[in-house]
Parts: sequence; C-alpha cells; structure tokens
Amino acid sequence: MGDTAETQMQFLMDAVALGESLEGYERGAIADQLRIAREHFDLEGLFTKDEGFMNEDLRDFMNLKEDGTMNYDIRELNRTNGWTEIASFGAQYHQTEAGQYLNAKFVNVDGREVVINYQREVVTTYPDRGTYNYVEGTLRSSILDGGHRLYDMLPYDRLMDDLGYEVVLRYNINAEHIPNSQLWPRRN
Amino acid sequence: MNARKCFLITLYICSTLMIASCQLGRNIIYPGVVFDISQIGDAPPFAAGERIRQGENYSQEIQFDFRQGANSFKTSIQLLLLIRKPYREITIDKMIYSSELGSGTFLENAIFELPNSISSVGLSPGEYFGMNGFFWTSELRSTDRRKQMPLINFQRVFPLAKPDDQFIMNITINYHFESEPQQIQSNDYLVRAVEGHYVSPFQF
Repeated sequence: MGDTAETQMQFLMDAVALGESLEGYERGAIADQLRIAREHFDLEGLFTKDEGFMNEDLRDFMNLKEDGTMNYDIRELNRTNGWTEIASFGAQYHQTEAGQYLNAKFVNVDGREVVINYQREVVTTYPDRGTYNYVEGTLRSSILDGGHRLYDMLPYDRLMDDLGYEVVLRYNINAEHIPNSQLWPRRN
Repeated sequence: MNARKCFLITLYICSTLMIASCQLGRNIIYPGVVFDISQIGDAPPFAAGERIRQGENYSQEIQFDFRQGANSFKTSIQLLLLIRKPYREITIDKMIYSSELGSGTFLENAIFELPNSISSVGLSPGEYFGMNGFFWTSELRSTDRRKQMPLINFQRVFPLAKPDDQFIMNITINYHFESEPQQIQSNDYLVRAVEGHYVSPFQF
C-alpha cells in the first residue's frame, strides 16, 4: 500500500476495477488480498477523499466470498473458517425487514459480515444486508467514538439516510445474549 | 438510570472484558472448545429456495442445522424438512448419536406440529414454502414444552475432545409423519473441535 491516502485510493480503485473484470476465485483472491491489507488503510484520509467508494464499492467488494460471489451457505459460516454468529444485541442493525424471526448475523475475523434470514438465505439488499467492517467492533471502537463507529457505523447511517431507509433496531429483548438463529424454530 | 445502576453496569462490562482479555474467562464466559459439525458427503443445500429447486436431486428429506453462537456454550440442533406432502405433524421417535468419544440419545418421543398453510412467494411463520411439489420448513411447534429440539453443550457430550481433534459422529433418527409408517435416516457428520475465544458483543 502507498503512504498517502491519494496513493492508497488509486491502488484500491484499480484493485476493485481489476477484481470486477474477473470472475470466480480470481475475483475472490483479490478481495482476500485487500482484506489482508486492511490494517494499513489510512481510513481517515480515504473516507475524506471518497466516502461513496469506501462505503459502497470497496466495502461490497471486500465482503465477497472466496469464489467471488455472495453465495454464502450458512454451513460454511463456522469457526473453522473464521466465522462466528454474534448475539442478538450485536445484530440489531440488520432487522428492519425481518419478520417474527430475526436475521442472524455472522462476522469473520477478517472483517466480513453476512446476514442470513431464517430461510437460511443470504440477505443481499439494504437495509439489512451485511456490510464489511474496516475496524473490529469492540466496546471502545463501537461506543466510545473509535474506528468501528467512525468508519463502519456512521457511514452506514449516512448511506441509509441517502437511500431513504428508516432503519429499525431490533433484538430479542429477553435473550439479547443469544444468537438469533438459536431462536428460529422455537415458537413456544 | 440511577448512578448506582450505571456504576454496576460499567463494573460488569469492565470486569467481563478484563476477564475475557486475559483468558481467565475460558469456560466461564465463553467455551474453551467449540464444535463445527457438518454432514459428510453430498448434502442437500440448506437455503429454502435452492433446496426446493434441487428437490429431485436429493432423497434426504430431513437435515440438521447445528448452530453455536459467539460465547455460547450450547449448540442448537434444528430440523429442516423438504417433503412431498404438507404434513401437519412429525414425531421424532428417537434421535441417537454415536462416535468414538461416546454415544447417547438427543431426543425421543417428541411430537412437533408443522405449519398449517403454504406460501409460494415468501415465507412467514406458520407457513410451508411450497413449490414444484415440494414443501420446505424448519418450523416445529412442540406440543410438549419439555421436548423441544435439543440444545446441547457438546463440551459435556465430548469432554475428552481437544482443539484440532476431528472425529465422525453418526446421527440416526427414527421418525414418522402423522399416521404413516416409521422411517429411519442415518447420516455421518464430521465434528471438528476448535479453540474457543471471546467475541466482543459490540460488533454492530
């Protein structure tokens, strides 16, 4: 990665353009390389230069599966592959269009985020879809004005405002520490 | 929120994070070993739409979905059905597991009500997703609160398993729909033990 935000931006735009011109695992491999490089991103400079690219094009591209698609299967989202389903409390931004059964949210140690509905299908549309995380969410980074809040949560809020979505935050209030998928088939 | 409650919540969060960060919380606030469980062989897809589209390609009508969330000690075992008739009831006569690390029964004599209507477009609670002569659901309403689908602490089922261990577990299920004859389905699953770690709940 280059030293300046301008150099980094050009590199990232070229990488995404190249990735979009490829298919399958070649596209997935480029997304993977960018994920490895994410810790070197000058996020403040990059977001200042072009928030639209950072918030949509790059975020979407970096969220791709190894095969270059978003065709994630819930069975692949396991610990062996770096995935974890987080508790209902952490999945509250992804429930606007969910019905009685809330969507399940999975995060990967490499920043990817996938939302699955109770039909075990990937949610690929806003406002509930999973969005790549440039910064891992922790108490400090999510609540106390850290990186996750600045570069993942607030840009998402602005995008939803621009697209005209009113995001409804929902979680299982009596089971906020339980993953949503564990409550899917239980109606009693 | 009064000051005392605020203080206690802050104390709880700080102590939890402190315990988690220095691994003292292993097996207290998060499991030391978690288990990935996947069916061996050519398993049908899980996603409702894809499963219905590929209905003819797989004879397997019952699938199991094993889900263990972050910092959760228990794995929920859920049943997914793709059937040719929109039955109203399924009885799990017996659901047993066996492996080199132990064997036992997960569930027996459990009766579940199935959805009572069919949708061909979307899916709402209480409905089958039905198309092309197939009916998909994962929704089971137990008639007995004590006999839900299992929620298992696999660290107790396989106490000898260590991170990076792999072994085969067989699950055999005897079941019947309504008054139809009993059927038996037996499948092998690869169980992979993985080192557990604390996952922040603030990953919004």
